[in-house]
Amino acid sequence: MAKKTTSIKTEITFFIVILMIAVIGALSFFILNAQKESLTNEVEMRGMSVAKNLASNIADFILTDDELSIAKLMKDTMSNKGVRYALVVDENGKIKASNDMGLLGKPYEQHAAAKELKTGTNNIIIFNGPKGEKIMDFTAPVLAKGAIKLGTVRLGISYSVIEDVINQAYIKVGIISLAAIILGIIGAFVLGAAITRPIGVLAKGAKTIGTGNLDFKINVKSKNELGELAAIFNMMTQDLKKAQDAVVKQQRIEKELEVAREIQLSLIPRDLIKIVGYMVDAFYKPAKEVGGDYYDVLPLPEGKFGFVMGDVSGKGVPAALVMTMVRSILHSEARETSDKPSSETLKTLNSIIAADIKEGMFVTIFYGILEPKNNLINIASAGHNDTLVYKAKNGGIQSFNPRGFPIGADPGPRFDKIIKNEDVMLEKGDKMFIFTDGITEAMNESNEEYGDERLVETIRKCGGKSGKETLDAIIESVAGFVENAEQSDDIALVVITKQ
Amino acid sequence: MSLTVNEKIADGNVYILEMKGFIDTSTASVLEDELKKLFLERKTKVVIDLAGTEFVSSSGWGAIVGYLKKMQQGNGDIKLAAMVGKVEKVFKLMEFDSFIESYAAVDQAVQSFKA
Repeated sequence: MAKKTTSIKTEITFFIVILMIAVIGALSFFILNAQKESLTNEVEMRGMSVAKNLASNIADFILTDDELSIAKLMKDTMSNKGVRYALVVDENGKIKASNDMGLLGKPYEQHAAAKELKTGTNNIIIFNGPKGEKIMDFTAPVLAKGAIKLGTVRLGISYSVIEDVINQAYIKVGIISLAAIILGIIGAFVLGAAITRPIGVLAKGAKTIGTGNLDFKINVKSKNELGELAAIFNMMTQDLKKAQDAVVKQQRIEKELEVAREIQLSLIPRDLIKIVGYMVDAFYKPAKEVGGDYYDVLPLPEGKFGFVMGDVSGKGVPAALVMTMVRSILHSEARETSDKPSSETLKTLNSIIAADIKEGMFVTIFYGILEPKNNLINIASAGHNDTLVYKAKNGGIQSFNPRGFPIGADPGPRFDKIIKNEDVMLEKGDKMFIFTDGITEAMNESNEEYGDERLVETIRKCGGKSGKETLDAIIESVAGFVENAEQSDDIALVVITKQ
Repeated sequence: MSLTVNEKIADGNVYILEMKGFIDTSTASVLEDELKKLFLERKTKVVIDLAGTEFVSSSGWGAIVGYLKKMQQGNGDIKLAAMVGKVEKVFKLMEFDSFIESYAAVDQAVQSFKA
């Protein structure tokens, strides 16, 4: 599936080599052809001029039958390169003069084996001579003064003159071409490698990044499109890494909130508590993100019960841990201080917690000790909101909030000095409402709060109803008010009804 | 939801922090860093001007409570001034007024350090 970069290199090399061979081949062909043509022309022209020279010089000597001069001329002519024979044939076809004395007087015949290969210009014939040698035969008329034809010069020059030079040219061109091609192959290879190496680096880098190593930087130094591509790649990888880090971070936060939520839920009592002469109804609904509310009912000595409702500042695991601490301490200490006012329990709680709690964190707590025997509940509030009581005898609603600031804010003396407690009598039909501000501060989409008034109104309307019915009515009322707005805080509500 | 801090100095070496915006979970650290800086520089007499603060969450209160003791131990204090209605309501509801001093005007808060 993956195309290897070496094949691109081979492609480039191959293409460049083919191109070079074609170009060199064409060049060589044309050079050699041109050379051959000009060479042939030159030899032909030279041949013609030698023949014509001979013809004009020999005319007088033939008239005067000057054999000596004729022989000398012949000798001169023969000394030209490549000349194989020189003859003068008279008008009767007899050889009048020749380089070979033995031919004198004989009739001129072209060698029987002569084969006409090509007719060049009028006066040149090329034929196969003895020994297979190609001979160019030049003719020139011998004219005496006044244009009287005495005969014809026939001059034979070997084609090998041309052939030799051409062969040499072929060899030279061949060597140069070969050298050029070899250099070309090397050059093409180097060029191909140089071009494709960055591609290889890029491909390898992409692969490394693809395996998940987002810290890897592709290093391509070329100042061309490949360098650009590498830079873009690196940028993309960085962005990817940032996005990934953000996702991981987000997941970690969500996980922590999940853990906190689980811890918190594990602390809330699941079972309904049964107290003789009383009904206890509870409702708890955590908000999506906030992790703060907590409530509990603790059995105490002498048939008493401790009612706790708290709200930890902050959210997440730290808040959940604080809540766990509060619960543990209360579970162990509440029994010790159950014979004392509720505020004493909170003083103990505060002194233990303030030492360990993280700076700045605090817990608002309501603590009430119910004494069924005496039909009263002794309540204390450490920064908690109002507690409402419905009095059955007149349908009125009372509000209680003894002094006290949150647990954890101050380790000792000042907390102990300020915190108060109060006895609340519970008569038949009376209902006590213990809740956190998640109810009164529940908001609708117009950012309005549910508020104390609506709560009081709802309680009033449920005058004769049971604790459970009243609780349901409150929850329904809040839900109806909030409608589709998202729940911003935990909602906790405990109703104690004296029967 | 943003928060800005403007630090001023008044006579008697009292430092005023003008907070403008919302002090909630995401911005509480701004206040916290400011208090930390002052504490490390031994500037322990602090008035937090909340006139421009519309909302303080438990994280915000936590920041103040967290440094209250430290400043007090360093011969100083953190006092609040000019809280707006809603903020003051929560302040009183949680009875922070039992152990944190607050005043209607910044001047009063500054003056109180002289006492």
